Amino acid sequence: MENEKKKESVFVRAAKAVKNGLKKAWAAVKKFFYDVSVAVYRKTHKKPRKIRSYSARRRSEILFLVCLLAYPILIFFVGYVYVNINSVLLTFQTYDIDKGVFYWSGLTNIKKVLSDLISDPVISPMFGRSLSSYAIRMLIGFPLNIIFAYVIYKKIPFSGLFQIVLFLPSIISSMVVTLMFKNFVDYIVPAVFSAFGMKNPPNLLFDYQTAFGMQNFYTIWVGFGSQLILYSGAMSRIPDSIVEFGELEGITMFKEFWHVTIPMIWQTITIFLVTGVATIFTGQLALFNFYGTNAPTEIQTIGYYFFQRVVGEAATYADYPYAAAGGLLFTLVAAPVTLLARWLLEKFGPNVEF
Amino acid sequence: MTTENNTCAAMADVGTKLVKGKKQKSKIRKTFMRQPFSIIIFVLLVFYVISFLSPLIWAFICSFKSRTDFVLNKFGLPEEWMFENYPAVFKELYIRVLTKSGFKNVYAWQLIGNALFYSIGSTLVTTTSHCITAYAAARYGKYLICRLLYPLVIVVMLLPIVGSLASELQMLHTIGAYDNVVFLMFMKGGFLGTNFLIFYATFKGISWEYAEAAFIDGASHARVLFTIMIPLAMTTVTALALLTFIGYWNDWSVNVIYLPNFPMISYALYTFQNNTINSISSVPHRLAACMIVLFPILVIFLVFRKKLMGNLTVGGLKG
Repeated sequence: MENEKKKESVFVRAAKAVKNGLKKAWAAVKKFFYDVSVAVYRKTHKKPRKIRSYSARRRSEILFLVCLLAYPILIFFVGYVYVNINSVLLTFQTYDIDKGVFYWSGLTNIKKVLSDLISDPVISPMFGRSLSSYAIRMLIGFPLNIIFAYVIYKKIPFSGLFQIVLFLPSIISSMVVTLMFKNFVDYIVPAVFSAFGMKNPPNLLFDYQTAFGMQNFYTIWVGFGSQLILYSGAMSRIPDSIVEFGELEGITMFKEFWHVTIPMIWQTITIFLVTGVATIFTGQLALFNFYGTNAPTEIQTIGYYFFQRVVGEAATYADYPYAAAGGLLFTLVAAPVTLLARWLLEKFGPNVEF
Repeated sequence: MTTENNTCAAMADVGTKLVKGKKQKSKIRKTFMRQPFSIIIFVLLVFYVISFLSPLIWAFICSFKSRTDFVLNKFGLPEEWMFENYPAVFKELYIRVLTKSGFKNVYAWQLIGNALFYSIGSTLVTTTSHCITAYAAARYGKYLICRLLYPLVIVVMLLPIVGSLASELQMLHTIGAYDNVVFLMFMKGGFLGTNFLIFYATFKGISWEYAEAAFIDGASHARVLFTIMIPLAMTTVTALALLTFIGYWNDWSVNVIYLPNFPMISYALYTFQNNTINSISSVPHRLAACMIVLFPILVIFLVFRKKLMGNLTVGGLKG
């Protein structure tokens, strides 16, 4: 029995030896093929990339930036620089309808625009209307926008619903909102007025006494949205510790809004205040949506007037120099006013960085 | 054991945060309702919500009324729900344009297709252009041209040039690009405006260490931009792209100014309000047309609401 065991163990040992031998042979074969494959790889592939020199890295960086910026800069030069230089040149030209060419005419267009703005009974009141609508937007729409952003940021009850509804007008097509508003005011508001005993309810959108007010109301009414989001975004960056400190001190919401929130988002506010100055001259209210190119002259603003001189149904090449002259004059006024506004806001506004 | 402890700690942390959040919310609610300033604002907001939703709901209900039903019953629900108003409007919503082969009617499907083509193309060009320029300005400040970009945008915003539309149209006429949708889309590739500032603030806020680690591993500049930085800024990219798309989709004035013969759906609505075709010139039909234009945007808004209303910041004007 013991001999059999010994015999078996000899067989097992022999088998193990053979197995080990085969393993070693297989490993040697694998190593051989691995060496061959490495040798083939080295022969067929490029040598390992050298560490690039500083100048080569810089060259590739510059090439990358050229690829990145060439197109936007080209568009900037064509769509902004060239267009504006051409606009200045156009100011001093007049269109010859018979020959179909522009010719130099000196200050004729500027004189015409100035005289229209000063003495034309239809055009001169437009400037006043533009200023008043800007003032209304600044005094009512602008503060409301920040206050609404603040209460949404504070997550008051129903803030989610308020945020959605305030944001909707900037998402929905302005034409859709205009048409809904127009039909609602035309058909429902008079019926409500009549129900309250008014005998001849006015047509709010076409009565000259109310139409301009309605335009201003509408502009503010649909004007929340993207600004609201940017204000809320700026407010959400205010460190919690500052707000919590105020809460521990027991300040009211209004005080927190006035003394903490406003100074902390002042930079964002400055952007909208400063860039909004130009809207005195470009602001059209919603006249184009409501009336197309035929808005009553009694409610037209300067921005609308010049816009429809260029794209209106009766607009021709002959109107372009006049519009360009208006643009140049307004730029000469708007640019210093904007810079002054910026300087004032930075000089007298709160200076908080966090 | 350690993992369990960590999980418990994390859960406890989340729980504390939730309780803290709830407490804070209820505290805000309590203090909010006691202060006159807050109550006035709350009432104003409630009025705003009512004033905005009333015309919207009224328009939706009226779009299902018949012409006579609308005249007799302006406030209530329709006597009979006229679902056929929608197909009728869809069928008649068209614009007549001048092509090389003469006049041609462009119907609703093509108007939608045109709007999609223009909006998607312009959004891609605009967003990409703003994004990459802002990235270069924010992260390659060692080059003069990149350093100049941010102040340039600020200066352009601060120095408003008013009334260059006439010059722009003259240029388009001169080079034969007027009424050319592809050219107009490519012209959207500038970098001026608020979007640039938002992207700039975003890229400034992303740590450059990710990029440096990638550079050490041998990544190229393009690879860092497209596989690291843009994915990290994806929230901003998506929000701005969606807002830009919506802006282009809704922009009906582009047909009035630049593309008279490439009509889009929102412009069709503008012309539709002056429509005199007897069968569809009633108020319910006009309101049905409004709903048709409104619907896709409302769907996009509801789906991407959180992305659209996410936190966007523009930084400051100190260049």
